[in-house]
Amino acid sequence: MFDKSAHKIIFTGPVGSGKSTAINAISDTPVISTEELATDDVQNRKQTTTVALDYGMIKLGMGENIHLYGTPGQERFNFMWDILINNAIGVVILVDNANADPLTDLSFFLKSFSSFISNSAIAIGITRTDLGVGPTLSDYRRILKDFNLNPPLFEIDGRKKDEVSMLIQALLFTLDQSCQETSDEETV
Amino acid sequence: MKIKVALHGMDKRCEDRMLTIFNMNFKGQCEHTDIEQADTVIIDMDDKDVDAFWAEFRLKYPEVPAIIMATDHVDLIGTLYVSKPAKLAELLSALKESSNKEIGSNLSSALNTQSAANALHSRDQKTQSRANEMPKDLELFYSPNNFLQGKMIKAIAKSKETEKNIFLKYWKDHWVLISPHTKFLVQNINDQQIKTLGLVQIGEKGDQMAFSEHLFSDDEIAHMANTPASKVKVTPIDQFMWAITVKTARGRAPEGTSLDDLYVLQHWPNLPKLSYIPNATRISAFWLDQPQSINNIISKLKIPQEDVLTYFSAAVATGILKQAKRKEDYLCTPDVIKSDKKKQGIFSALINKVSRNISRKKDSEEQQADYV
Repeated sequence: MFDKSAHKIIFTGPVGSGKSTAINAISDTPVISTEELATDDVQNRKQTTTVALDYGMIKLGMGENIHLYGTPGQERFNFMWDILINNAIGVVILVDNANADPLTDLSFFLKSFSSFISNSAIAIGITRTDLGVGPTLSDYRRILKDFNLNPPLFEIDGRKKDEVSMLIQALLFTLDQSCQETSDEETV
Repeated sequence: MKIKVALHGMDKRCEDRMLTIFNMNFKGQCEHTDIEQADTVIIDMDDKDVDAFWAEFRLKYPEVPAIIMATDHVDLIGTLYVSKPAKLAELLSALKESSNKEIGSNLSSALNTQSAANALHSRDQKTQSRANEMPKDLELFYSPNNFLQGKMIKAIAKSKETEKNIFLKYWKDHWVLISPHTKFLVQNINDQQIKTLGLVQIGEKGDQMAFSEHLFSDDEIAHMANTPASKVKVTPIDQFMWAITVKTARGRAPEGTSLDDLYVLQHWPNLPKLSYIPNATRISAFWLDQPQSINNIISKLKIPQEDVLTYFSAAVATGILKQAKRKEDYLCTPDVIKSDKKKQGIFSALINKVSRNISRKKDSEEQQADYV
């Protein structure tokens, strides 16, 4: 599962930010989740939580695959992050806007992945913005400015395949702008 | 009730194809009729002197709403434009919109008296422009001030400057409330009407397309309070401005735009929540790396000019793209496209895969992906 030559994208973020949901939205294979009943303060937010990782896959054909890993959200599992991040294409950070302090959440994950970010790319998805509470994108941009970063920052619904895809697309174009976007529209 | 549609200016083959579509694809929704009885008319403008043909039609039929079908964009006041080859969904949407009693008759009656004269005037202007060897500019640029886009930009600025709520009224009961202290506006215009508003030029004071603007009064508060909650929408300003600008720009940039000056993109637009522009993600990534000119982006990314100009117009309207003013902006070499040679194959395959997810979604938003 941790083949160094494999291409992988890491989804990270706090508990309940929608990592499992986002992977599920774009994976071509059924997502393998290691979810358990939440027993600590997490149980106030959701019934189950990821304790090891989520795993999905995007199939590109010709035997090429992109592996999608979701990190466990709880900090006590952060030893997993270093294992997962090794050799990744990029990192998607998801932040739950309805969380108690989502700006601090973002800062925490930017710090945690700072060495990776300095050499690669991130994209940030803010989830649950439809609830009308929490910071605005401008607030998040101020945090990013403190880290001297200006990455893709989108409001997304992790359940929507096109919105998660757009986040991945932005991550990739941040790394390489020479690839052409294609469309499968038919013409008569 | 079926929409009665007339066809005008079409050759036999095209007319037969349209009749087949009415009988098969749009069965039960449309029926062919004469212009005199029509709710709307589809006019084929290819291979015609557009202004003369339009003026002649309008003088003869001043009331009937019209949809213009043509390969190249045709901008005629009070009409809807559908490009060829046209998506069936787009055509059906235009038929519904054009024949809509409220919108259609408003557009038609408000504009028909001026349209023919405008068309002839426009014809003279174009003739003069051709003489001045500037025909390309007519296709590249538009004047935002003639559209809701320009009015909104001014009203938002005024609201901020005066710290007052501004109430904009349009047509009969359509309105937008701009508040200086939020990034949202309250309005009762639906998505289909936004599309129409983006396309139609604003009229002069006094006519039905006029656009009134004043500070928010107690009467307006009462008016809003009586509007059913289901018809009132709270919309982020950037989403609204992006949407109407995409409809208005249609591959053009605001007049006065330099194609060679450098512009700075301040941050990523919130793309998943904004109206779709092809290649917007790639343009954003390239533009964010360093200040760029429009011409440089077109040539380096090798993407259609209209995508870049529409993106430019929407980004300027939402305030995230500004002209480069700092000296250091001009020290960059805006020629380098970031590329990872080792991983290019895998990136390319993955981008193709996720792009299809996005374009499919956009297609499903527009219901059908068939073309006429």
